[in-house]
Amino acid sequence: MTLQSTKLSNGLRVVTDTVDTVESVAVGIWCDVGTRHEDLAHNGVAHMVEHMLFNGTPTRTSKDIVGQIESVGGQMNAYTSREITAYYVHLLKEDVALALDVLSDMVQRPIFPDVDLEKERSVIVQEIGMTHDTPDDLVFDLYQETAYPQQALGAPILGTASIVEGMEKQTLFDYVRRFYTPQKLVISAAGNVSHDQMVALAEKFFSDLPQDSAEKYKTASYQGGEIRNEKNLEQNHIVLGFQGIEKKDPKYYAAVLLSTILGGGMSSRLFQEVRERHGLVYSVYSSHTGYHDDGQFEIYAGTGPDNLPQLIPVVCDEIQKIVQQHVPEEELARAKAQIRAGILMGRESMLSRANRQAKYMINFDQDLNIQTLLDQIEAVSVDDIAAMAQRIFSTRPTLAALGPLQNLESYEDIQTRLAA
Amino acid sequence: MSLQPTMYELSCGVPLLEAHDPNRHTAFILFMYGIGARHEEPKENGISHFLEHLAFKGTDVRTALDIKTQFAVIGAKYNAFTTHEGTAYFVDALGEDIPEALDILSDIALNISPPEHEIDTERGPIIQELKGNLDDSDRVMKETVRKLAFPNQGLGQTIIGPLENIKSGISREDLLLFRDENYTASNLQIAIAGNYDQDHVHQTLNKKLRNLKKGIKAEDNFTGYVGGDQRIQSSDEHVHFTLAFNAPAIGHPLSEATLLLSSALGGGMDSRLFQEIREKRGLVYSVGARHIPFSGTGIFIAGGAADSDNVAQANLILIEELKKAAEGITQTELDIAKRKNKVGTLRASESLENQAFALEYIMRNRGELVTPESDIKRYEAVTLEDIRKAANFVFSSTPTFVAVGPVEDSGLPSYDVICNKLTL
Repeated sequence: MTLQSTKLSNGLRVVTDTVDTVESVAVGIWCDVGTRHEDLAHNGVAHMVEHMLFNGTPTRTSKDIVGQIESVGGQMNAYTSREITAYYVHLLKEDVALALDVLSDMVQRPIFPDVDLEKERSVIVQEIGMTHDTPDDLVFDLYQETAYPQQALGAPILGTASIVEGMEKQTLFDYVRRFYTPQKLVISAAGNVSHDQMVALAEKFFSDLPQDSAEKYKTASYQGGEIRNEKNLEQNHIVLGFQGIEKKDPKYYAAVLLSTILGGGMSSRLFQEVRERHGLVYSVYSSHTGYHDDGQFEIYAGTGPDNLPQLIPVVCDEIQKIVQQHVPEEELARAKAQIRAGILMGRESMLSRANRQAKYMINFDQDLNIQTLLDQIEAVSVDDIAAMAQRIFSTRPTLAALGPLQNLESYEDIQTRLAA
Repeated sequence: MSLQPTMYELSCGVPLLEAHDPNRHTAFILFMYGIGARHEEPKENGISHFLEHLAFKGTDVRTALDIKTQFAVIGAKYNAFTTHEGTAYFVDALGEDIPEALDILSDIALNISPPEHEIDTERGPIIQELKGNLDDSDRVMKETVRKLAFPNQGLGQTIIGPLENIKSGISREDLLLFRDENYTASNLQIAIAGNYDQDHVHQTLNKKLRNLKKGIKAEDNFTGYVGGDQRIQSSDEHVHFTLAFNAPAIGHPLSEATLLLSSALGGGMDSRLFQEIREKRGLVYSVGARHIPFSGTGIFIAGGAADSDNVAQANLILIEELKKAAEGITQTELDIAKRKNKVGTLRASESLENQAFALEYIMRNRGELVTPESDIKRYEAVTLEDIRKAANFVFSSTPTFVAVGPVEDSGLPSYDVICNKLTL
């Protein structure tokens, strides 16, 4: 097993995680571009580009693109996040060249035919509607808008129906030309393929990328506050969050471990108190998300209106406790074991390996040695956790709530609980 | 080529299915009891799932906190779930930690014995899980399809059960009695995949299971597929819709053909339904078809979700496509479906979790030990004639139609119109 990376003369980076004991290869293009690179008037363009790249090139129709991959049994997919857009294929090792042929054609030579553009608008409007019907998705969109108001970083990834319906073809072309450039792209592969083969294929297929534009997006500006969205549901969906830390912060893993201890899985404090001891919820968890220049710490819980008056105090008590009292060494050791085992077990999946390497390359401009990562996690101390808890939980909270909210206390009361 | 899996019979008669692979760093252990929602009486509906929730709440020798702490020390990923057919307990851990992981998991799976107060507290999370499901129209739709397809039978019940059963209907005595009757050697299979010490696992399990009662295999009150129609009005933006049919069971000679038919019809971005309803017309975000086989029966479902302006048209095209599919598919489509199944099986076999579940599933339902390669061969043998027979089996049955969402002004065709269009 080997891990290698190369930067081609045009700036395109290739990273290969070779695993010769499997039959397949997961391979794709990860782009250092997402929703936050949009301007608000064109919110949703990053995601719409992701959809439209599947809709044809001068030599392939949309049916050819998916058909060529699926006819060899491959699976093809894509995602848009706030900072990354990815297109990837998982197929057998003998078909790697086909995968890169199709993927490179999609990103370098899209044509956005009118009829497909109209159809895709309609598909995305349907997708937006489905998000509105999924309360535990919608509440996170509400949260993001409240944490980062008036910024692309706070806008929904899918955009709004009216923007999507009015999006012009030229906006899509401009977005691709400005952002789908060699220095923003990473080709990543994991599985039964050599790095030499990957470099040769990347050189062969990626000669048509536009010049780099060196465009930057606006720095994140976390605000906090609250949003309440009354809806006739059985459950209330609550997200209580705080400003987190950026990916490159040397103390990044203290934030990850803090989130693991507080709300990462069945051994966590929130799961233990809110669900196991008080029986208030089915689902409660916390997570930390790092961006290039900021981060956020979110706690989610879903519960019926009768339990809501009890839920908020229990969650706030747990936050206070972790701020005021050092976490026991054994508890930190368990959280480290959980993260460590998660990283090692994630290595069984080729897709997750390719994704992890690509994202690390985008964030740190180097490939990721797993041992270095494990060492960074091991180095976090209980003092680091205490300092991180004070840092994160002293920021202004963001509260997003969706459901029959009549029993939810005021934002000020929650602030008072947290400050007590 | 995959390594040949093996079966070791424990002294109590329980089969231990193994995919031992020294190239791996981790192992996945699965305990599966063939007991689930379809085996429950209506007054105890939800009890399998309730018992599964209690697995982490204490055994004779471990408290709830012991279980969580001991798993956490080795960083193991563990969980459990209940289906209509079975109850699964499993753990994923690093190879060096397998002895500890096996010790805890086997204790949980064999000796669930939660104190009274833990049982009453756990009613809360299960009620919240039920409420969450009620807010999820896709879930409501799937449960309604089951109810219409298999009315007055265990297979048509929900897994969580009705609110009154969870709130108070199911007592600690009921749970322990259910455990003693059903958590027996006759219902249990164990599978393990990955890198671990085989001798140690054999010895440990022989010792731990030596007092397990043989018991009798769980049975249900299956009477057969019926079909019907139900539309549920809600305040959602989208209508979730499904057209379902009776389909071959696991192990039925047409089961493989039915899966390949569902793949060509609605199993990917180049499938007929995705191309016709989403790619050509943009009527939906998601649409597809699946064959869901059970033991003794099965259903074939096709559907998606669309807003109330599009849903009627999406359904008319869906019906057209089902009618066309009733005539069969082309050789090219069959070849692609086989290739997708082959690559999908090989990809899935890279995951130890999938390997363990596949070993257990195929042994339970077909009594065979298979490699991914031998499993693929069964699908390679399917002919166009088999596909036509499978399509005839499926589409000659009474349809089940369910729609959940803003259905009132959506212009969806009536059940009679659907049935007529399908037969014309």
